[in-house]
Amino acid sequence: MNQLNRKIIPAIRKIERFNIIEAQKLSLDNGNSVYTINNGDQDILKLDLIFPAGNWYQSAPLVAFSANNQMSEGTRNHSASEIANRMDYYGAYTNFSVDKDNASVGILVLRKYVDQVMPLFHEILTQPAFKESELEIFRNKHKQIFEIEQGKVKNIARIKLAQMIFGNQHPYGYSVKKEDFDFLTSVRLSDFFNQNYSLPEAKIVLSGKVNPDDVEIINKYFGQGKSTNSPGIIREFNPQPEANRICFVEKADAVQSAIRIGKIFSNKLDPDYTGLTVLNVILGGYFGSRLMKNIREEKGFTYGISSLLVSFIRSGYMAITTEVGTNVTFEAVAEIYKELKKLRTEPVPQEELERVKNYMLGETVRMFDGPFAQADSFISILDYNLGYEYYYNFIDQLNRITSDDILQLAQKHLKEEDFYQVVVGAPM
Amino acid sequence: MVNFEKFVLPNGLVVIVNEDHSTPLAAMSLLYKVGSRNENESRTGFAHLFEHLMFGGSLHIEAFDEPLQNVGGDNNAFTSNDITNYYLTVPAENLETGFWLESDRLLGLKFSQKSLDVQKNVVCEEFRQRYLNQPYGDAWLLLRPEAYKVHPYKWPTIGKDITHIQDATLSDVKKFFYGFYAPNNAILSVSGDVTVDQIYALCNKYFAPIESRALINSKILPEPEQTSERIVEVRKNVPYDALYMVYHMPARIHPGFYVFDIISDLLSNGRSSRLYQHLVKEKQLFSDINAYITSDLDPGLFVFSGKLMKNVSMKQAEDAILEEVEKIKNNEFADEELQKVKNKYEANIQFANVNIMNKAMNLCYYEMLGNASLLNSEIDKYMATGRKEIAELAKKTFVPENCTKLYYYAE
Repeated sequence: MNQLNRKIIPAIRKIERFNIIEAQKLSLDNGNSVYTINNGDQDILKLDLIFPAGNWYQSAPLVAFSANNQMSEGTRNHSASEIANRMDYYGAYTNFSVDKDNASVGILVLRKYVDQVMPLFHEILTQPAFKESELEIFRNKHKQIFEIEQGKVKNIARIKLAQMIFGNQHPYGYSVKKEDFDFLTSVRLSDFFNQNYSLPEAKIVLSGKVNPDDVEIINKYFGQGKSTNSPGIIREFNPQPEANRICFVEKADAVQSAIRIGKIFSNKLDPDYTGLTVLNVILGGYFGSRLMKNIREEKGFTYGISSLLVSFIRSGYMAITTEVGTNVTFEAVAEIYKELKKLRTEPVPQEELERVKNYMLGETVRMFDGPFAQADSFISILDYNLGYEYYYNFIDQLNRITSDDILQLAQKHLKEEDFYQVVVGAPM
Repeated sequence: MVNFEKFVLPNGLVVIVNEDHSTPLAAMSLLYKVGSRNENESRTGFAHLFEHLMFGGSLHIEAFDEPLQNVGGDNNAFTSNDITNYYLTVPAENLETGFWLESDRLLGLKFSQKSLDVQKNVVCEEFRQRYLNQPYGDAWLLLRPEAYKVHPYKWPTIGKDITHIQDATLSDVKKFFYGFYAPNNAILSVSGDVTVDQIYALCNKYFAPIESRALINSKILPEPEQTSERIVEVRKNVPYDALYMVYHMPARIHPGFYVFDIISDLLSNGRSSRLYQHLVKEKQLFSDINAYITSDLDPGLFVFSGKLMKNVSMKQAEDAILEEVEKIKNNEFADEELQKVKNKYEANIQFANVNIMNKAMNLCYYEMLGNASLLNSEIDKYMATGRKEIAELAKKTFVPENCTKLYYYAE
């Protein structure tokens, strides 16, 4: 046998199999649709319902989050503990979450137990009781959890930056206060629920090993009834950024400072978004990013640094985020701006760009690996009323993008004067 | 059910393959049987520091990450008390790059001083970020040396002291590498769009030429039986009091392990669990409470940890937990609850098997426990657990002299 020459890099094969299984749209009795993704060999199903019920639609702080959270804490016919018992007994996981725009309610269940849990899941979605006694427990508990979370420099920085770039009166920028919990009432939650959680308005996605019987069940429970939504809150996206672009929050006993530097940014609806995600990955979106190389791997200032793009339906933002030793905070901040400048002034070397493209093509394959990943990737375009062209275009643009494109995007989107900066830590 | 095939290379490397053609990806997991329990007490945190150095370049390859990113791969690693596990996913057509990379860093590292210096800093920042700069972040730094007096579980994976990391030298690093990183101390598993023949060929090409090594025989002293209750009290700048109570329990492969796993789920798995229903919702003593097991290879801990509600005393909180423990000892729970916990295991296994990375890592882990087929058969041990074993073991284990408590007071 020939001696293996380990200097020889194995051939790089082009990444072309993405395994994107397009969701099928099926009509329900009430005119709404269910999207089904049949994939995988385990006998499991995941059902997601997405409602326009995020922070954007709330009239007072925490209402969207609390209404979503309290839905499973009792219905007209079942107590919170009865619901929890039944779901746990059948090994089903319910999932409640809220973001700035939407709220989602989901369930993950073994197919053989669908009949046992679906009626109750339907009840949660249509008849939550919002009992004052449950709300009282929730308030007290979450006030404490809130205070503990506020003890983390990273959280303080995240909340503060959103406030600076969108404004404290804006649904994307509001900083929750502990007192806000006291203004929650069951009437408020119930009103919000009635206004924003209407089944005929929901986006419904069923994934896993889906067969026609399952679709019938979905139709039976979630395909009936007329829309009850009254016209919700109409707002304009009208950010009111703070005048001050630099902020320091003192936390006397901190042994690391949290740094967060960011700005309002395009979202998925921008035709340049593919290029912008490439730009972001180069800067701080993967382990080999420039920020990681410079600030972690060269200087050892931090355990991790990243930049991220957050896409909201009506806007988005970019943020660079890290926690560094208090003694190197200034240097770390300076290095972050240096990296931004470098992207605006020097074309990305070909080798680096190829690496990022291939890494991102690999990420795209991972985004469609298995039924649940397929469903999540579909939901994230459904929110924007985008179709699968979004992903086909993304792959196509990714393959074609050049260093020149990246340079132009950086010059347009990463102007230093547009950034806001928060540091949370001990005074230096 | 996860189907797999297993073979062993002449150098001792165990290889497990799970063909899953529903995905265009391949996941690769390489487990080394070394963790913080193999460390010397004056050099703690070393296994974990070492994990960082594994990315700093190997004999023939400048750096680990870049060639993998070039082919669309992604990777990471973790270190526990017992193992160090490296894992990656890659589009299946580029899996060979994974073999090339992983085998070269098993063959030998570059041992660069610069990489060591930087990673020492990175790990110190990790220490600060995760343990020192979070409310209650140091709880385990305080608890471990009380709960364990002899066994190396008395220090956490990150190390017991930042200076141990700062003092590490290249010669320490080399000794550690050749003593623990060896084909005869590792398990490789691949899951995804691959065939057994293909993996066999890749293993022969890349891993078979690496010779087996003389391993360091870590003398891990067993923890002597605890004979009296231990209490640690601290006052720190946190908003609310917290309570931690830990009890020694059996090792991962001991039959009693499954019984305690079930007890922890009766108490604390899901919203319907006893601690959540009784102590968070009904009595409102805790904002958050958990019971869990550490799942260590050697005898580990059964842990209660909770954050107290304002105006609740430590005594009230502790008594309430003990009252719940008494009910377990006396079998005061419904048949349905036990069935519920078992149903959950069954469901969780199916949910976990959707993901190739989970499968690859689990196959490695169960093979390390003794046989990869445990991944499929372990459920039987849960199903066979009954009230009698639960009461017996609970009565024996949940006693004051087997308990270490941490009273974490808000200043």
